[in-house]
Amino acid sequence: MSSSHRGRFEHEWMDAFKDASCTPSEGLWDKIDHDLTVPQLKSENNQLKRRLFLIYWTVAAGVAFAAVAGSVALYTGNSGYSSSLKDKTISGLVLQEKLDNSMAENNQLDNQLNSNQNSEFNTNGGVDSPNLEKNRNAEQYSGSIGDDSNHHGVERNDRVATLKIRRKSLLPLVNTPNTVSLLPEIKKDMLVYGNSDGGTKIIDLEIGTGGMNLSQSELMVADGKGMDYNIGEFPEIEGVFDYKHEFVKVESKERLWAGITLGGGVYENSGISGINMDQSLAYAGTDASSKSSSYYKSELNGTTQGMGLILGKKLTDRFSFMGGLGYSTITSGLYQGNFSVTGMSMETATKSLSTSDNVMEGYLQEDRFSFISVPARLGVSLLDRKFGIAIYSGIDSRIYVNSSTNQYQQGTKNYNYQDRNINPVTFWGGVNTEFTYNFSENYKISVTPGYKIVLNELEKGSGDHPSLADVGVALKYVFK
Amino acid sequence: MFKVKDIINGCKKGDRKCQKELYDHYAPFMLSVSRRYTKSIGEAEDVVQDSFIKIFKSLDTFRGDTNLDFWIRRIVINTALNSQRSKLYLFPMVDVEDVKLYTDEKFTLKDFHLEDLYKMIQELPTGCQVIFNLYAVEGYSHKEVAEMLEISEGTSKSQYSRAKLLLKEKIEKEKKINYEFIASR
Repeated sequence: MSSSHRGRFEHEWMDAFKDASCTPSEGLWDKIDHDLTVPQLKSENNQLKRRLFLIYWTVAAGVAFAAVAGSVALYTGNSGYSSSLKDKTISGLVLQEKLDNSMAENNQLDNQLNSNQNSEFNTNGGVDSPNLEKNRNAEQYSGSIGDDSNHHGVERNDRVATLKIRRKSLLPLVNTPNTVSLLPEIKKDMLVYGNSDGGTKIIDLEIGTGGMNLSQSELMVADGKGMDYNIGEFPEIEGVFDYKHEFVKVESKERLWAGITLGGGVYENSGISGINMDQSLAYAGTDASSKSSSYYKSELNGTTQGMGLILGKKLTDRFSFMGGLGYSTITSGLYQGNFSVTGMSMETATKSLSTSDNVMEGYLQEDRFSFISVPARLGVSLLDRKFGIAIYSGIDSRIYVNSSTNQYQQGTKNYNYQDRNINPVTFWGGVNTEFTYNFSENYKISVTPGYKIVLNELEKGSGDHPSLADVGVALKYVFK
Repeated sequence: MFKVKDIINGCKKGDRKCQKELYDHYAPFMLSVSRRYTKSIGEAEDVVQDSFIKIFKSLDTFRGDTNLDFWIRRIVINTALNSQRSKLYLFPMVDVEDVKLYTDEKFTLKDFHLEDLYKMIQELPTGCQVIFNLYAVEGYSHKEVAEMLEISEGTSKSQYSRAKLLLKEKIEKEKKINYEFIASR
């Protein structure tokens, strides 16, 4: 501030207010007293809300993951079940049926088909295999078999079969009774639907994820090069695809495993990152030269390391439980500094400052916390073959062991202390995805990236809920 | 006796008695500052209220080497500016002609009651009011005022000239009224 060039006018005003004071109203202190009390309650309330929010979202994320994973796994049927087909290879075309009919329905269908076989086949161009229908597995069956001379085979109202095309092939698409087109390449599984006028033609073919669907028509797949369906209007039909569905449940022998794990990751305490506006304002007030644009900022991040033993058990074919015991550390650096910025409003500075900007006085605080960790997670298996994928969600309980804190200012250690007010037990909610490779009969190696967040406070009264992203590598022994 | 160190230490610990003592000591001074930046006593008290909350929250960061009066004054001014900022943006300050106003060497405000001076300042347009206070009463330069308010130096100068002109008119008017009042008795 400079008043050297002020005239009489300015000096008069300055002097007039120099020792001015006004008596505040009686209720002003009560309002301040109220404001000082309420934020404390609000803060505690907010902390509780935040904690509940975190717990809610962690649980919700876990449930969502489990639901999605379960749905995907059930839909694809990869882990616990497999299907096989007889005569499933015809001229390079590999088809696999994936139907989940009950065997009782299969038998019923077979009986019906047996009783009606040979009645209609071969009546129109090129269809020569009654076994086509005999052995077909139908999910829903209603209608006549071979009792209508205008039709070829079995009438159906709904999906008959789901076929998976497992390799690139040429496959014909019959659009109408008199036209046929070829799909140049089938890279995905297919859904095929028949028409509704008695099963003489396939009217629709869709590429989907479920395989090939057929209704009210016959499916006959031959060499994949031409007219390969048993449509009477196409005399070039070369053959039929005779297949039989076998529903085999493959049970995993894996029930229990144990392993050792090593992990590491990054740690961030976003709760205290950023510019502290109140403290910024306070600093702004203390430094006359920097005016209102002097700021206070702190950031905390670091690394985490851990090692331990894990034990897992399959609860069902898809779901498993994993627990363990480990030792983990968090090494973090807290930077706190004042920032002097000119020509910038507080709002602008808040948005644009980075830690390295205009540092006036900063100090670095290095913390190291050690914990004994006890993870407990539920997992769902998405794929359980040579390669496996599973998603785990759960809580890691970390028992605080010790901590050390060193503070440095301008490269010089200021002080060191050991006793931080850390919660004796912290609960970390998290989600992990486990990728496994089964490299021998009993051994697996797994890589597990994941994300965790503290559900209660790490340091008592701090309101901080740090998070960490880590990757674990484990060697597992599977008991069979 | 008001012992700054003890009071500050007490406030840092959240001792409500110490906070009340600090309030009793500084509230009249803070209110006098905030009244100059606001339009009413109610607004001014709101600013004082917010300022105290900031002070109590930020006392941990107060460095003893700085004058507490100055530090508190800065917080009141910043809080008042923040409270007026929306109005400043709402009614953008435009440059007006920079009028050279020469002040009579005998110019004095001694004849005026403090309440009259508050009233005159509070009746100024917000931009003029803030700039007048920062420049004339607090003693900031136009460059510093411009930085604080994110306006150009020219705008600060021209707004100040306008404030000065308006205040002179008000002072003359008040003097005339007073003269007529005395003459009539």
